[in-house]
Amino acid sequence: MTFWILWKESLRYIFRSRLPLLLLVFSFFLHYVGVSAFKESNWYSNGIISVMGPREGMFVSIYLTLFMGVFLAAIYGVWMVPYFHQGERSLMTFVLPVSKWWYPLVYSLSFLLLILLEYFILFGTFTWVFGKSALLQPRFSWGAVTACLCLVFLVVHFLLYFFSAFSLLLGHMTTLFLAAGSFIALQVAGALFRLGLDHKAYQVYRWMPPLGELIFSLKNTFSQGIIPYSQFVSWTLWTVIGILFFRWLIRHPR
Amino acid sequence: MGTLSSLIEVTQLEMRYGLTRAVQGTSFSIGPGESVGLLGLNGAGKTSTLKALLGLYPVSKGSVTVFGHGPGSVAALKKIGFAPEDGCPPDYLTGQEYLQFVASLKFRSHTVAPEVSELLNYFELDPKKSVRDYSKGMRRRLILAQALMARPELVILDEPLNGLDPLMIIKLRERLNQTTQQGSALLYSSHILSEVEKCCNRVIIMKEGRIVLDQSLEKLIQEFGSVENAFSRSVGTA
Repeated sequence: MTFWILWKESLRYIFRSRLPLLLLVFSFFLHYVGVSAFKESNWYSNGIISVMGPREGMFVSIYLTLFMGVFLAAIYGVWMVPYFHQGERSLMTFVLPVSKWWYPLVYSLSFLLLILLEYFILFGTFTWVFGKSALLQPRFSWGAVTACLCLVFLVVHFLLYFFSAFSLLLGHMTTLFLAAGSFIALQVAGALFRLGLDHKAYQVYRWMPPLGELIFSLKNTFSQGIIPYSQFVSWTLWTVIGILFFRWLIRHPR
Repeated sequence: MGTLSSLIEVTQLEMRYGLTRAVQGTSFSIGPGESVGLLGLNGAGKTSTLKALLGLYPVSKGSVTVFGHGPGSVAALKKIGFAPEDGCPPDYLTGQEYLQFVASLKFRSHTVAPEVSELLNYFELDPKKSVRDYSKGMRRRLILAQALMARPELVILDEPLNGLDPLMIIKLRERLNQTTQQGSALLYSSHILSEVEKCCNRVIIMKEGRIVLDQSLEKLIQEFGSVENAFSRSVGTA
């Protein structure tokens, strides 16, 4: 019962913020323009002209979804989740007679709904651009697509708690810059270490969230059907750490 | 469950903010039906004591139990109505929605819709208006309304009169007296001595984190003549 009351309130806040509507419009625009432009383009490589079909289109859609997921995690995590736990409002939230463990569960499920909406836009625009037959007689593996989308959800779910916790701890602006800096650093490090750069920093990198490996993992999963189990385990662990950290931060009003 | 002899039990409480000791070795207890005024100058430790009772800030030393539970426990919070000095309800809700939300979490077993309407009327709040569009005084009244909803066993108010007009101060006093007559305990932290005199039957005065006076109102009046005199002598000003 407590959970439903809190979840209803969380959803009411999301709807009144107009986030779902903005997500629908912005994400549809991004997917439609991105996938359509990709469909119209040809790739020249070693004198061979490659025409971009539904398989490549789905891969591009997954990347766009990853981008939208990170964007969504930033909005929901930096601004919306801390709304109830920061400043003058935090006193009113804290004295509500509910276990503080309900909050991460409520935020996770609300975020899951937003991500499902994003996935709905992905398949909607894909079908619009490539036609229904591209989905019904796919030239890609549904298993691989599902694995990619699950991985994307785990990653953005972790990012949601990373954003929320650091937003409570350091404030909105610092969190955004910290996140952007970490994202760039991990991406660059991932690429450099993949090229075989031998450095002591690798020992630090391998204990960080595997953000630098993500793009490669998605590519391998999609094109070769290799399920990145180690990535799933790693991101699940990081998500649990993120949730515990967030729960620890809301033990008192901030 | 048996009846508790004291709702609040504070023993040798110490609260620290970094190196600053806000509360130093404070002990007191509050029984059912008591209405206690908590007085003191700015920085005396009143709000810190309230924060300790509600689990809003960690206790550095000593022990605090509220309804036999630790501070901030769900079981204790269910029985408490609290109006903080600087609280702000979620501003995307209307006054009515906010009260219904709090009521649904606190008092699930019975319908609270009539009581929500009654409180909105009593505190002269527009039920359909968004909290965002409420004035400072209206927000204050909304916070007080949620604290007094469904007659909690313990009402804790921190500077409740801030932002209230004189007529609303009178209405709040009447409501508080009605609530305590029905058996609720009251812990009332304020700078307005006359209001404490009118609403409480016991007074605790704090100075520099310590309790310097803890007496029934009757005894205090006999000894000092008024709360104002007691306060001036206890805190060593005037």
